Amino acid sequence: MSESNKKISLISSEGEAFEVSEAVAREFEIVAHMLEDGCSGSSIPITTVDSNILGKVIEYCTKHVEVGNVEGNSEKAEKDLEEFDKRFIAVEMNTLFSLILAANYLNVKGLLNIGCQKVADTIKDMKPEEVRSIFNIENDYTPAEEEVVRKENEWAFQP
Amino acid sequence: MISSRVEPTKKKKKNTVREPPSMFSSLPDEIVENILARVSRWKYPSLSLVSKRFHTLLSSMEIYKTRSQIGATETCIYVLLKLPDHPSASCFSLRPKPNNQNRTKRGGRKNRFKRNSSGFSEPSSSVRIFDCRSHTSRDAPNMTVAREDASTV
Repeated sequence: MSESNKKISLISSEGEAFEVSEAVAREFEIVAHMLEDGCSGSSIPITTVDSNILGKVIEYCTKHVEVGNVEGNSEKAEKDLEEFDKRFIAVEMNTLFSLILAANYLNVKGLLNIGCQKVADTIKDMKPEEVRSIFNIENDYTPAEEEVVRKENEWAFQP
Repeated sequence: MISSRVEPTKKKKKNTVREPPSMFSSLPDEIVENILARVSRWKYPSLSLVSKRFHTLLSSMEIYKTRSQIGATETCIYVLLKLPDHPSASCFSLRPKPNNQNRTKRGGRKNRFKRNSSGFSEPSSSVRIFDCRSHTSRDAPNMTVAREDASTV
């Protein structure tokens, strides 16, 4: 593709422009589809994502495009990318949720996957009270209702 | 522009605990489902207690579709037991015990075969099919003859 040097501006919800290469912009599937549909404008508004998060998503996509372009040495590159991903999502919960929401909206599958996996890993060994606590979820069960759910799975709660 | 500002935050996990409004509740169901599908199925009974929303999502068939899409599969054994104090047979899913022990352990008792509500000793022609992929059972066409204790795999 000879267009790989083409630049595209992604505009955050605050109106801030982020100039990226077309290859990076195409990592956002939503943008890739727009481009394929003939939307050839050089600036694309991403109205639901703020600058902070958009910057991060671009950072993620840039890294993945860079690594994807490197020929050979793929094992090391893959390891590096894994490390990068791990560091990238080592953020506080609400930022992680924002990243997941943005990845979902922009359709950046890799980021959506690692984000959801990170949350899953965080809660997998937690007790219900702990999950409520870190996510600020209200316990909307009455004691009787809770008992019914407990009963449904009563064997599962025995040591 | 490539920045490398990420600092390891492994130590201070606690600082998220008392944070005021979490965005978790603003996540759409499809995302929460995507998250829960990545957790072991054996944690579902416990996670169902978090809230009604968790319970609904974890009890739906959708989550098992998502699980197969993302390749989250786990081995388990199904056992159909007729317990003396229950009118109908119960289906239990058992999981291999983690770490070397080869015995199976607890599982969720999710699906009950309601073949005959008046007791399983009476012949019945009704048939239920249990679907291991979705962990649900559904009615099948009746057998032509009523049978007592009929079951097949």
